[in-house]
Amino acid sequence: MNIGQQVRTVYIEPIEEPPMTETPVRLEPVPDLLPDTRRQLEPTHDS
Amino acid sequence: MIHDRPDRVPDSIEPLVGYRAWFFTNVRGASLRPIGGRPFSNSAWEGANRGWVSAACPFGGREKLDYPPDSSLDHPPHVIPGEDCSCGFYAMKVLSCAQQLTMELQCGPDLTLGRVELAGKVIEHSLGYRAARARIAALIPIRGNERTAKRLAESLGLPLDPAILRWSSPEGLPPAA
Repeated sequence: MNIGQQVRTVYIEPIEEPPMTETPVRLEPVPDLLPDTRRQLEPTHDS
Repeated sequence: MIHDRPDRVPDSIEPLVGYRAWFFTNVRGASLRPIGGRPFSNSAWEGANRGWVSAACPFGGREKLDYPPDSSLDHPPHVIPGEDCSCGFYAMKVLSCAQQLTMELQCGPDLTLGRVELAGKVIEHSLGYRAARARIAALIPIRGNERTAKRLAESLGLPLDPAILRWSSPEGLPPAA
């Protein structure tokens, strides 16, 4: 294959996207452990 | 980092794109053989449909040199592709040059064109490239040969680029589709 005269030399280092190693898993909803602030702010009738 | 030149920053992180032709067989598994290569020898392009493959050199070329080359040898060790060697993966810069090659060879039905990506050390020539690493990005069917190209592409797990017309004139490009 005739590709003509040499012109220059270059160095190419392609950045590849990492291959998918596992299938995506659906995450289970995590219960919110923080106190319900609205309930705490409600006036109490004890006092 | 560049394997053979750890002190050098890459010139690009995008592979160079080139075009070339191969002879193919699709009898006991599809395989591509470079034009001019020995008919039954293992092709350096084997596996290039699945990922990057590295060029080999029968004249002392290596992927990297750990010591200064001995210039007194007939074929001093060099990094592939060597400036004073003919090793490396070959590709043309433009598709029309690869098309022209198919015409010059009076290609038969066992010749296919493809788009390739090149990386590592690459020597740019006026019409094409010689590269240390290559992979096949797509096959390019020649009009009238689409069915064969499609079967070959399916066997190799490669996409197909749009079909092109067979090169018919040495003076100019083929007529526009």
